Amino acid sequence: MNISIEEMRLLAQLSRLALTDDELKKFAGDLCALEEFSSALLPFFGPVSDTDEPQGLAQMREDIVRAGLDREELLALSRLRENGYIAVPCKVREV
Amino acid sequence: MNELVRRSLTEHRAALDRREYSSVELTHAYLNEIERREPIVGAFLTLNTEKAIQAAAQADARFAKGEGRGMLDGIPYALKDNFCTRGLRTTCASKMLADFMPPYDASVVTRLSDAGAILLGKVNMDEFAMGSTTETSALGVTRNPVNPDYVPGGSSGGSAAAVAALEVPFALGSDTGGSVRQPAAFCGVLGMKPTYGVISRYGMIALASSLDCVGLLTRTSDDCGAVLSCLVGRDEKDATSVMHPNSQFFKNERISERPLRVAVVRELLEDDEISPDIRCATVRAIEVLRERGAELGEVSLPSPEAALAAYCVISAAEAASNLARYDGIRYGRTTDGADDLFSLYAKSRSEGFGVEVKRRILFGTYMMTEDKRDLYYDRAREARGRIGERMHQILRQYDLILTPTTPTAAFKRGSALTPTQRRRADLCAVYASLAGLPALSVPFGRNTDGLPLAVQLVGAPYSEGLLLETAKCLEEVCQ
Amino acid sequence: MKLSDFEAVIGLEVHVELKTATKIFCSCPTDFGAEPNTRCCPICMGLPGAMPTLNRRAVELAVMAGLALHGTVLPLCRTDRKQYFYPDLPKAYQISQAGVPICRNGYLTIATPDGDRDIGITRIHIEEDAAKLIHADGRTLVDYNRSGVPLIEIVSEPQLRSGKEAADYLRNLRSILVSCGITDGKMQEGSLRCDVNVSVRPLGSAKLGVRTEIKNLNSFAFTEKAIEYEVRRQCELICRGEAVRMETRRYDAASGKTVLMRTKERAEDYRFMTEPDLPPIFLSEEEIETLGNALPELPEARAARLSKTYGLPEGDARILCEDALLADYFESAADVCAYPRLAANLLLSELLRYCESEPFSSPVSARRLSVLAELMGEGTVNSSTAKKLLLRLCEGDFDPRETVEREGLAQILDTELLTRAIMETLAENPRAVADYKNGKTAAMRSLQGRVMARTAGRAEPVLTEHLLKQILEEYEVEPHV
Repeated sequence: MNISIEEMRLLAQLSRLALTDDELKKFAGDLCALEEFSSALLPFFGPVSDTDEPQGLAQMREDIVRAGLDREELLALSRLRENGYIAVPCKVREV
Repeated sequence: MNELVRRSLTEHRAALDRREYSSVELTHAYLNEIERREPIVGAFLTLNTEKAIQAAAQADARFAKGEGRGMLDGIPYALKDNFCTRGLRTTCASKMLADFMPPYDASVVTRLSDAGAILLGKVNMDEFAMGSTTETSALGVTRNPVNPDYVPGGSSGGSAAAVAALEVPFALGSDTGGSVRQPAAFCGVLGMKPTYGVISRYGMIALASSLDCVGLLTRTSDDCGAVLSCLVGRDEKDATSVMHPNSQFFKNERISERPLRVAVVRELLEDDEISPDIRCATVRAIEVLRERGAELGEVSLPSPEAALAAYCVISAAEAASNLARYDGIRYGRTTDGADDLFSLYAKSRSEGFGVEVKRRILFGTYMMTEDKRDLYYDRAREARGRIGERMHQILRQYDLILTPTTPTAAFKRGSALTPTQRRRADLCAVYASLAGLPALSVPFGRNTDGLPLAVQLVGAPYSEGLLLETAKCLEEVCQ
Repeated sequence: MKLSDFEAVIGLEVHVELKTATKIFCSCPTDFGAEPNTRCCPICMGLPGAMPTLNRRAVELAVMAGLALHGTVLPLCRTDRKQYFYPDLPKAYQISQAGVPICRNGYLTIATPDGDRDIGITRIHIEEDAAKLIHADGRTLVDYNRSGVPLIEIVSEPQLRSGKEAADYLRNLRSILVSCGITDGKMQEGSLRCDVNVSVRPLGSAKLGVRTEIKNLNSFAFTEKAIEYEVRRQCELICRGEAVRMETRRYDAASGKTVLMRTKERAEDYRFMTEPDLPPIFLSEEEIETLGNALPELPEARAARLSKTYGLPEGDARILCEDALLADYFESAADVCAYPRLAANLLLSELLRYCESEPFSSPVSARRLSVLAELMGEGTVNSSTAKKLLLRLCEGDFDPRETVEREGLAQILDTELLTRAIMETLAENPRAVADYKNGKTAAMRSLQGRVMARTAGRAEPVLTEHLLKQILEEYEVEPHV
């Protein structure tokens, strides 16, 4: 089986990874092998049953304010901090 | 070497209680051992020396006043570097987080601190817990303490090595598909993956949320029980955490008249991929239990190919999702000179992540795309459900399943295992992960090369006590 | 083809901020206007190792919203990750509900010239809000205070047909949700925002046209204008033989146009994944029922009741019930008033413009309003006097009855007095009288006006008019000398 370089570029874009074509070719081979390996799953069709234990209202968190993080502590983690904000170095529109 | 470090946690507790030595002395003993062994073993990424000694002094002060906090008070330990520790570097062995200082503690860290345990440092792992040799770490090399030419296993290689090298009496790791059990097996220590949800994951940096468990590494089953007792319990910060119904892990949970029912997997014993030394150890373990009066039966593990594939697809898809937050904007590595949004993300991530991480992210993303998700991801979830049901069924008929932990003992560092070999090596481990069952790797002898061998016990949910009790039988034989 | 040959097909996705103390997945406060990045924690910042926990109150409010909108609340649902990369999304996924939502199949009624119409609601689901992006020079500042604020998304069927209908839908929706305490509805704080899907098709056609999406409208007026513009734009395109392209647009208030948004930086494939860190949500029948019982009287029901009880025209009752506080005010007045219809009239046509709207408050107490209405209803004062009194009450409080008495403001109903005033007026205005006699009936109005002026506005209008007519019939203009 084969995954085209175009498909790999799209995947890299979707994953936000900057990869050279050589890297993409190598990974394509890996992904192919993994996909073939996953073909053992094909016999398992049918609606996915959700077996996780549900949570009722009583077990959910109460709507009470608790202390969060100090702004300085928070912004200290980032190289992009600026005057109380995180500044992304390009123009980004709110959508 | 200070002979102190040979002792078990429970022995330290007794000694501390009778003032044979102080916590400060004990902590120094371990710190010295770390200094002595680290040039070869390389388990630690970050040491917490000053704070540890302070904490030890505080423990001693408590003891002097008769205000000891219990089993773990004054006992040193190590943490896999994917547990957030406030003010102490937490890296996941990745360049992405090489300088990350969490502003908060993981819930287990708080529990251990409240119990008085002494954090000696953060230990090495495969990058973002992706790998089974600790060789994908971007920040250090860890060697198997039993033989430094061999891998310690992974991804909790640093945790297993630190315990095996007598650098700490216990360590925490994380087990997603065997990441605590396999390194425990390779290094000759006990490794437990508890029932999914019984120990809080809050603050443990996620790999695959529906599979990740906090894991424990110790040298004895009693030690494991002690640590487990401290850590289990519902945490309101982790919505998937559950209360453990059994509060005391040394209690015999079987209705004592009935003999232990042990299931054995014939296909595994006859499989070529299982090396003869492992097979031997497994057979011996079966014999030991039979001699103790266990009733044996045979089962087959359901759909092994599908189980491995389901694990592979689900863990990759969840990992890709959990690692999407690493973009250098709020924390972690930020690239220089990205002039548009896409480059900011793509370059930061590509510079920060290693090859294995990239591979899994790509595969995980691929499996979730519109084309592929109902072919693989949805089916993986369905397969997981059915396999889990079958496992629960088996564990209603039997008390535990005994299998090898790994197909082989540790292998040499830099061994080029084929990808297929690497994946298939997880076979014994993935079932407990997929089904959320507790599983314990018990060291059981050495092979002719002197490398540790181990067997795995898998039990029904909340049967950790039973697993530890059984492990004790096997331990006694090994002595 | 022209504009009127087309039919617009419009659907709304409304995002409503829930009135909770804390965020949906963490315990940070949700208060508006705080200093940037001071309402944050590891969870809403997407720090490594953080995990979400669901806010019970948010779920309760979502259920109540569903019930208030006549929907079916589902006993079991789950949250999902909607995955894309954007600086306002700390985890690179939004926890939302893609599969089974908390509520399905409701409706909202709007009034149209052709009568009431129910607009279908497909689904209501819970999700978290994104951070706020602020433009700066060459960069974008991110404030994470809003990240994680609880939202419900209400998705309508594409059954709206005009910008006006959409604005009315939004008004009604806001009114219902505010009266039920589900949201504070403060538009200027972004408590309610909508995305609009618009397409057009030839009248009578059943096939749907290509639709465009207009994002992030936060006022009724903008929504209406944006839709109007977009419908016209699409029609013009089609009339020119061009195709409408499926695109995402935004409304530019300055130009009054919708504008193509820059290519989005996010991938279209959201790779939805069941949220593994949150268990499925289970709601028992009893719990759902209890929440339903906690709902206050909904605006529709209240309007019907007011109309019936106080004899108000439906339209007036509806307007009063758009704002729960306004309706409360009216009811307090109407309760103690013998002439509630008059009170409603006074309120709607005169008093309302002097009232505060956010939140509603009146400078005149309900009691005083009811007294004024009674003074009118009894015939003690005419409407012109009542209006003047109302204005004075806005400036300062006094007892209207007592003032009317003291200042002699009561209407003049005495025929003799009125006749005298009329005779005096006619005598002073021979020209107008002559005009009237010569057939200019409009002159009568001016004469009446002068009679009113002469009586300081106190002449009872109907009686005055009647008398004036009578007198004019018999009146003879004295010849000029």
